[in-house]
Amino acid sequence: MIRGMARTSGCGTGLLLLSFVICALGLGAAAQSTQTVTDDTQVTFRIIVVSSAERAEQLAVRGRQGEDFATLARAESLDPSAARGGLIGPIALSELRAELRDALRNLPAGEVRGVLTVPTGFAVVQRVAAEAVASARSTEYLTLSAVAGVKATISVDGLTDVQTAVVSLEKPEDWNQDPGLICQLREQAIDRYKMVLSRALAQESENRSANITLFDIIDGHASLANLHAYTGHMELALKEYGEAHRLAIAHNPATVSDHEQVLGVAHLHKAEMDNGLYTEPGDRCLLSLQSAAPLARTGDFMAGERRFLSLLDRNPEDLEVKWLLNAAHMATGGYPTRVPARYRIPPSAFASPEDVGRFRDVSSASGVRSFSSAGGVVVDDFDNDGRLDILTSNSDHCAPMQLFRREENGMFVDRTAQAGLSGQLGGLNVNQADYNNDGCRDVLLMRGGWELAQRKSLLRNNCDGTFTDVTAAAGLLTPVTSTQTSAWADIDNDGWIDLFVGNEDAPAQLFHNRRDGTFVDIAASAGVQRSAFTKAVTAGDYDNNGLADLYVSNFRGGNFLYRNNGDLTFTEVATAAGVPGADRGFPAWFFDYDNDGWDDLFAASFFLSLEETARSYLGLPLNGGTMKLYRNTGDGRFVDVTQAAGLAKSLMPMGSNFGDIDNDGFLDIYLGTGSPSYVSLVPSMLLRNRGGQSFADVTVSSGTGEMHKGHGVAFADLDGDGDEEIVFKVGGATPGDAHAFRLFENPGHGNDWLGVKLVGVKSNRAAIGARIKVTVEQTGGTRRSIYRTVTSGGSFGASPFEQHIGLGKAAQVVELEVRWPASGTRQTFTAVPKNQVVEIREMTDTYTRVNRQPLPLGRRRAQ
Amino acid sequence: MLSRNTGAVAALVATLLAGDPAGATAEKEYPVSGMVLSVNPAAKSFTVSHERIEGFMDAMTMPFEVRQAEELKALVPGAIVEFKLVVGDLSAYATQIIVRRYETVERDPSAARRLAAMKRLAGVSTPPVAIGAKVPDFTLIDQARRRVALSSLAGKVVVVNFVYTRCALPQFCLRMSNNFGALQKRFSSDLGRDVVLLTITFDPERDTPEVLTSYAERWGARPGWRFLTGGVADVRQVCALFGQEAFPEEGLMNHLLHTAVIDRAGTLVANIEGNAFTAEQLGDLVLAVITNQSPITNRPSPPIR
Repeated sequence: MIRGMARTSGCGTGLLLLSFVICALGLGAAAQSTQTVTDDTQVTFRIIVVSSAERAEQLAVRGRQGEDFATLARAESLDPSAARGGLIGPIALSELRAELRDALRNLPAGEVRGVLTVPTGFAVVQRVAAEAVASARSTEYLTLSAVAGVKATISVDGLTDVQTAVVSLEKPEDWNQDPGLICQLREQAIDRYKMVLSRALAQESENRSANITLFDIIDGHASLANLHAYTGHMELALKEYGEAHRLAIAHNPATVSDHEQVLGVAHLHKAEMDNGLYTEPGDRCLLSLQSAAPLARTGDFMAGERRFLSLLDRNPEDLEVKWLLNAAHMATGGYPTRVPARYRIPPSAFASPEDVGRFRDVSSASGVRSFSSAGGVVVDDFDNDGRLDILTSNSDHCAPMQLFRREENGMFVDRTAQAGLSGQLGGLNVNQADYNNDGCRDVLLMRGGWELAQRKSLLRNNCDGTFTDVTAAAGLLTPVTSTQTSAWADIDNDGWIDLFVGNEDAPAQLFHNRRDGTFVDIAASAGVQRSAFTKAVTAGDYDNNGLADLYVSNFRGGNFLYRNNGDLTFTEVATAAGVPGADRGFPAWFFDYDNDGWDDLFAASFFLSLEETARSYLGLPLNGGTMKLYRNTGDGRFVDVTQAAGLAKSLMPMGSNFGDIDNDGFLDIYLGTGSPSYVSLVPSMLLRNRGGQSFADVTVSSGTGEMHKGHGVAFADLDGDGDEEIVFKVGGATPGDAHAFRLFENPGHGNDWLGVKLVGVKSNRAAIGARIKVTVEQTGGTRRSIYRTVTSGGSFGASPFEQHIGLGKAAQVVELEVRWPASGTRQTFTAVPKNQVVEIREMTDTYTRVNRQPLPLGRRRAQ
Repeated sequence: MLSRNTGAVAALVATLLAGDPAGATAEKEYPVSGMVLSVNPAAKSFTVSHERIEGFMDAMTMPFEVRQAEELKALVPGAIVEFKLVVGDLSAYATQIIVRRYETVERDPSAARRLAAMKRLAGVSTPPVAIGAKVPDFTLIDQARRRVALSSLAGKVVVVNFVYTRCALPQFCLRMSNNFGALQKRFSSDLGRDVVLLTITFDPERDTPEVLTSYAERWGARPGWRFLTGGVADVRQVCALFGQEAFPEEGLMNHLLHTAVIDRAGTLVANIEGNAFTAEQLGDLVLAVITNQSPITNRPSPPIR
């Protein structure tokens, strides 16, 4: 099935007027509730689309006078549905464009309504009584579908310009296997295009060539501006954007507003850079509902605000610009008081319903000094010294990954060079595993996401503080693919971890571990070779049969659920199991959010739309797909509980993960959000799990609402005080959007916890896929069980394999059960002490206590 | 019905030019927008399929005069224009003619235009066939795997557009196909005989003949509306003839939208960029070429200097 995933709205004046009404109504409603309303009412209707409003009106009149609507549709309609007499449905109202949604909502059967403006013309509709008609394929009503109404964000980032430059550059064969060369060619392409473009623009202003139009000149300035914005030279970018804007006023008036918005965003970006908001953000950049002290250098802020105000004065209902104006004031400390009341987004749209205590960013103080682009993050103990280290990747093609080793004195120290990792440039994602069962965490660096294909790197941990790139020897070098996601799982329970890799528009790869340090791709014979634009893959045993299943989240075309058949083959069952995912599929993971012993599925979508994000906060009806939460019903199927769980929001999440921020035993979610475009100033979101029922947005109260583009997320107890910190790789997709790292220290909640470190013997040594069940008795005698599976967690971020398990208040561990994947054995321990870490080896009768001293963050421990 | 309202034009113009018997009315100005069908510098006039002129007249095809032939310099058939229609006692003329590329600033194609311009300025793209020049012959295959050579269609009016079937944007590829759906309806008796519609994919790797067969079915295409694909290099070459550029983005394509009209002699009459026109205007342009009312009287010069 092909799905709709349009990213641009066709805002005719009709639509504009309509959205004005919706906004006006919605803002009123938002004051009472920020819950997004989606309408799942099924409707069946006939539609006629013609190219003039007059003709549509005539047809509406004829329809009302009783002429057969189907006959009229067959004769007149330009819509592909004409052949069926214009029949569409049954279809959920929420899937339709806003105009149609509103026209059909309360329309009695047989009644005709119109004229409506749709992208292909003017429409008249007639509701028909629900009847057994075959559902139209989604592509057939695409022009009428809701996702077609999503307003894409404006691009201010230069990514496509740079990519075009790189594509048109001559490149030696195998260039994409050498990270150093990839960096060099990219820099070359950018420099060359900057030079060639500025030269050509100077020449053309003197004497125009025959094949160059004035529009080309405008576009040329915009492209040059984008290249400067990409590299973060905002002064130069502003000059070129300004020139494009100036020429557009004179020669292409229809585009002036867009140019003006771009200018506003560019000013804002420059202002934030100039004021050090990216290098030393402190509490700036964090979503706050209180005004703060004004910044020092406000010139560009004011210039940006002026642009946004002037745009709003002309089009007061432009939600995207309204959001930008508010975001600009947030950065200067002027939100909400200094935002003109008529354009103010009410603080109530962001307010947290619960107070989880304020987290504190101790990144810089603890030594994690990293200023970089988007990337992945892994928290784990790479040198087996009992202290968790932090490893990151940088999507910047010329920036190396970074390894921050936790020293005995409590500080993180950059050991990238000593570890032999300085040459590992680029890579949007990274994760860990122990593929050779030597007890040391190895690393897989994934490159080429959103880009031309580039090599991956498998980095073997030499168990001496250094790593060796063994990609070629391991058999992972070719074919070179665009890759940003992979999952480690022992698919045949032979005790050696295998690797499933999702690619962009290339066949997925399933690398079977040959136990000798090499892998062989068995994707074809295993039946998992489907090619899609894959954004996330994850492994979990959803049917509790002891075999690792795989889930694939695709940017388009629907997701895959591969059920493991136990014989190195898989069967795709996403539709039957009820987990098709949303349009624009992105992060996805298995977790047991309701502690019923069955792994549930989280599958988010990524609509590049600031407007949809704003609509989500304001509780307005959405056009874009929302995140999806699928609850495992234990019979091989899932049920979509998104709405009830309070997750029907269309945000822009990429890097995201889960952990238990308050040790209540229920897994919470942290979403890094944003997009490559500098326009996407949206807060990351912390969602607290309320007892496995729903999720509450506690971003503001926790102080974790980073407005910058966020990426890799990991949860780990770094200071050994029994609660999990949020480790957050912040940074955009371009060198010009780099940002400082965040390490949010958990303020603590007084709940009990248990750390479980598993060591596989027959199973893979890192115990990936092992299942843990902790049964606790709370004060008053209530018993409950908490379930965990050993994985590194979410997408673009990897938590330690050692499991941190919240137990709730005043808990006693009655029983701790471990199920091992390869041996199938089960260990049960009773009366395990709480608030400490225990180590359990497979097929051993006892556990050992791990001696872990608290190691405060941001303070050097006295020697 | 082939023509629309053209008969009414003469009468209307006559009424208009007769003016007020009192002779005292001042000049009035009306904004007009539409698609240029033909240009005649000698007569200092151009014909436009225009939208409704508010407070003046309905949408129709109509010739307009200009004061200076120079004002027609930038006009070619297919150009989307805006101008002021000045109506006085005894005459009416068009002035302040602006050629517009787009009525909307949809973000995807505007990025594609920008990237195409960047390549042009950087000197890494080949210029497309000029209006008035003969289109070089090319051969692709259609959805039934039949070879289709442009030269084999000589003597017919050929309308070409470009899509890729994964395209999900209703304003773009779907609108292009919608336009052809409208042409198919309007020229149903001539389809395949006098008029041939060619929808060419710019994503040949995915748009195989099988994929195009189901796409054709979806639009209810009849013989005479053919969907072409071919080898990657062949398709790229054909796209280049018409300036049809596409840039991969997020697994989809950021692309331009070209619709071209080739006359019976194989000459490129129009190469319209964008989606800022109605199916009706495109039909009017095709009709003008069918009825041979659109000789290339205006050698192209770079639009807008």
